[in-house]
Amino acid sequence: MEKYLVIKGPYLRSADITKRNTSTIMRDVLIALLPSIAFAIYKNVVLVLINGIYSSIYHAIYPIITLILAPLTSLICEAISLWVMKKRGIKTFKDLVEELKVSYGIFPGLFIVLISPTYIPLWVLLVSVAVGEVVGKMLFGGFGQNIFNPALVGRAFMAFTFSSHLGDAYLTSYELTIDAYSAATPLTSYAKAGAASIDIVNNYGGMFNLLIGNYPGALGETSTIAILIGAIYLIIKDVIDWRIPVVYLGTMFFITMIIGFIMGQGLWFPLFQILTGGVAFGAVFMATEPVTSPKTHLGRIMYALLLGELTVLFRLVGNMPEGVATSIVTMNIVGLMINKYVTKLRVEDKLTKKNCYGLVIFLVFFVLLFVYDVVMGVK
Amino acid sequence: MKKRPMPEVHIEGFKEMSINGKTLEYLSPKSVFLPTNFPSELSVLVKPGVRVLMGQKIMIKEGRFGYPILSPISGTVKETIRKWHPSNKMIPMIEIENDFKEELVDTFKNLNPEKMTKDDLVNVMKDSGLLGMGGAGFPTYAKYETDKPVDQVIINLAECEPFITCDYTYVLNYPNELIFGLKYMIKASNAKSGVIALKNKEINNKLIDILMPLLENNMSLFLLNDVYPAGWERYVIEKVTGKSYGVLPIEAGVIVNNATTAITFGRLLKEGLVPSCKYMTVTGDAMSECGNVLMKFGTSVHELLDLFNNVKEDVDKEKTLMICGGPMTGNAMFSGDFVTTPTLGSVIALRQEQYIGRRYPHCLGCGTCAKHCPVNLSPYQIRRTLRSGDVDELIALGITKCIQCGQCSYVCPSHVELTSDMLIARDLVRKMKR
Ligand code: SF4
Ligand code: SF4
Repeated sequence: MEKYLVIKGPYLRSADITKRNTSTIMRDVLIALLPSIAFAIYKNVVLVLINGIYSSIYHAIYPIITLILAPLTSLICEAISLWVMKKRGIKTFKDLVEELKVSYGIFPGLFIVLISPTYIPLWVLLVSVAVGEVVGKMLFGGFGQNIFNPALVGRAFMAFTFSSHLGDAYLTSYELTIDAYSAATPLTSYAKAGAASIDIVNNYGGMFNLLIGNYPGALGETSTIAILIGAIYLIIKDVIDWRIPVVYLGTMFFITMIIGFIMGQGLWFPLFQILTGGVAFGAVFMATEPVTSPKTHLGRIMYALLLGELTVLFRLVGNMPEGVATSIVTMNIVGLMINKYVTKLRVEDKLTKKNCYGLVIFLVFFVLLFVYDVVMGVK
Repeated sequence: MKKRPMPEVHIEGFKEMSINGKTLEYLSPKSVFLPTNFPSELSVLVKPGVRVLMGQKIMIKEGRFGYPILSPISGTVKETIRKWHPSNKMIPMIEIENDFKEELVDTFKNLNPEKMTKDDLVNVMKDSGLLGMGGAGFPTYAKYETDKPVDQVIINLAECEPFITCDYTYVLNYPNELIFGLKYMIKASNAKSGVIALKNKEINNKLIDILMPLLENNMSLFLLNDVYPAGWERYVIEKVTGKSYGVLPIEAGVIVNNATTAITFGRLLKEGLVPSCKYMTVTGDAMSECGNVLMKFGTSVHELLDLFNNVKEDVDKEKTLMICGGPMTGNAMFSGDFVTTPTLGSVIALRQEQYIGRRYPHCLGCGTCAKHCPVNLSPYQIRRTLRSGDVDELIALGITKCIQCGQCSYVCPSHVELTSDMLIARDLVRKMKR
């Protein structure tokens, strides 16, 4: 008797028919990063070479070296971990190669280099990449299984372990010659300044320059314009949900606007807050990472609201320049709870006294944090 | 809180393959095979060796919603043998050898539906063992034996699964019978009107042109969006009437019947033809030819495949799917030697060479499956919970509401086998709660 193939249905997959699958989604993320990478190279390499102020050619093209080595390191770590853990039926070298094609190992490394100070010592960067990749991703079981964003795990590790290396690593050799940049990035300048003043914006070439991104900062984070182009691409391609960046930036803007008004400052203050310190990059590329963010519209809105408040908290109250990264890592955990609650809520037919407890807790928490932010954020 | 509107996903239809293919009749199989324990144990009324007429009762399903199973042909009853059934099991079946005389029982000859009352019509449905032929196989009379007021009878002609065109073909060839059946379904339920719901897509224009002039005053057509699962009863009712309901459609004042069921009823009343045949679609890229064939219930599928020159010569069968039913909810069969049933709409042979041995990524947590689940579940979450075996959590996640539509697996960009995990989870919950 003839035997046919027996597998579980359904036997049609949109991924096969439309050719849109997880690999093309990850490819789209890569494409969306291109404007930011291009700008990073322009600002940190091209401008430096044009101005001719550099100690050695190695130093001048150092950003390009890191942009290549970091993703490579994370890919190698991924391969070694996969081989050692022998997960998912990896027996031969060919299996490993096939698995690497669907585990997207370059991403943690690429993201870490983009959100780190440009001139961070190579070994610090690569150790952080390895930690982010192995601890943040592989120990959880690899792609799709992680609770925390691996890149942010690596970045947080870097911030806490090697903090002494970070401070002056932001400026290019050309930027080092500009007096107004004396105190490194706009955000650290703000943290050091006694009182809020629009001088900070002017020191960095005005609001428009903050938007363009030609000021000291992490490699891929400075150009909000470049990030926005990537964001629009990702939203059109339905890779990220616009709700997360829009609500996140909106919340931050609103809270800092109130804080600014209380301090007698104008609209420059909230704008300054969302244009610096990697907020846009975090909003578009990190907070929306599918693996670690909630999956439903309501959950995503709740997540983004709290995220905005937390960033303000860490930044203005805690005076931490890495406020964005820390708040997203924190929200990875809170987001799990939000997602779990919302998942059950949407199965119910209507909102009842019994199942709205989560919304109530959320609202109370949201209001408290809001008030705390405003009261403590005023300098 | 307003309920989220049902998600709608367009799925590539692949229907032209069978529509442009052959349309055949194969009403004289050598033998037919009738399962004796499906859906549950049946009481057998005939002994091996006796001659039975077409329409004679062979078995009875006892109990609530019981119904008789009639012989689709006239011939001689043979010994019970085991055969493959569409449920992918070998089960005992009564074989009836055809004497090719097509001799009908008297019961349904010369019915005069004009003069029949509502109760008479329901009794005809009951005595003829008329079943819902869309897939559920629920006895039709049970829907009509109700004291609740019925407002509308809806004929479901959505045929929402890809590839399948059996309802389309039957309506194309027997439009008058469809209208006739609907007319008396309206009468049998005392409904005010009848609606034929079909998808708004190009291939259906032909049907619309044919049906339009035939409609009676209290009948109308309703165009559904070309999405999946548009044929889901709940979806059809929500779209046509704007009402949602708890458990049964009758709560919304409607009865829904599949188009083939209505035609079968129409032919029963008009020609006295007992429910014994329907169109089945044979299609797929591994078939030499595609098309539809009017066949008797219980025919061996390999006889039908032969009519379409069988599976292509160069096809490696171990890398080919023989799907019984639609590609979204059907089953892959071990062998092409199973028997047809009243609820079987299609047999699809699909090549799979290009998919075998492919490695797919893990779930990336994009939430697409949750976004498209018609009953608002979160399949990825249920799948994760299933690994821990936490039954209470599975219930809280709503697993019992899953309708096994296949949508979640279909939309997942990572090829995660969600639907089969949903089935495992649902079975686990049912087992533990018993
Ligand atoms: S199979 Fe079940 S879980 Fe999956 S989409 Fe359909 S109803 Fe939802
Ligand atoms: S659609 Fe697939 S990848 Fe996306 S959440 Fe569901 S299971 Fe995961």
